Amino acid sequence: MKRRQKPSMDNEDDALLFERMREYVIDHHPNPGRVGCLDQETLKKFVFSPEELDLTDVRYLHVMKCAECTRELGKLRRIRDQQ
Amino acid sequence: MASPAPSDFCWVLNSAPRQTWISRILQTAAEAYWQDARRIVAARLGDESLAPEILEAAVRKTADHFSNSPPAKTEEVVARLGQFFRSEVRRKARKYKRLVFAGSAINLDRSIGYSGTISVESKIDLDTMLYDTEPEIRAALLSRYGNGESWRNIAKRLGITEDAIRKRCHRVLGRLRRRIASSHSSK
Repeated sequence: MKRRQKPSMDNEDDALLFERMREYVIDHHPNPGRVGCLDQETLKKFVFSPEELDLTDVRYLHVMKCAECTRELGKLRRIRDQQ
Repeated sequence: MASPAPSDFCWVLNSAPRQTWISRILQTAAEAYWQDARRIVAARLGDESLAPEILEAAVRKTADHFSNSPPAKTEEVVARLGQFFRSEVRRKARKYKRLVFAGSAINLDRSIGYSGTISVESKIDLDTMLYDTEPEIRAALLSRYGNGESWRNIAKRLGITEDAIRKRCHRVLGRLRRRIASSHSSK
């Protein structure tokens, strides 16, 4: 397994920037009460079938201010990548 | 006091001679856009009561835009109205930010110095930055954030080149990068 890199935001595909963004949201936006969270079905679609969602809708911006939704998306991405 | 009807915003068209087709379509467009307009203003400016004034300005600009054009489709007028509306919202948001930060230098982090744009951006959160962007760019960024999709896949889905999507996202990515960097430096 690769050793985790030091914080950096420059790489070819901007993947590191988005990783830093997720870390930022997890650090700064705890939402233990799950206020305004997207339901599990929607989070699954986000990861497995994003074409089914209209991501131009501003309500999906919730994931960028919710640590719990961001963590959940991370879990779902790992499940997807293992399949 | 009752909320204004969307068609009320088209009163701004009565003050000057206009082509009938645009007046008629703008009334329909304003009605179609009204709920979105209220939602955007509430989310972006925190004060839904500003929506009528902003929509009026957008109606006026849309009418001016189409004043010398042949009749256009309703969807085209709605799209243009939406663009002018969002532009007006951004203008108002910038104006409010300047008012909020005037005289509050004591609260600014002196270690990063005071520079209007950078200090303001260091207080704006990620989702707020994306409210400001074009819907298609916002969708692409959300897709990367939540789904982890590559630029190549997103470009393929949108039917454009990878280069094109990266160019379109370049400015907002710069803002996001600065925002994240400023949060690290303030720790």
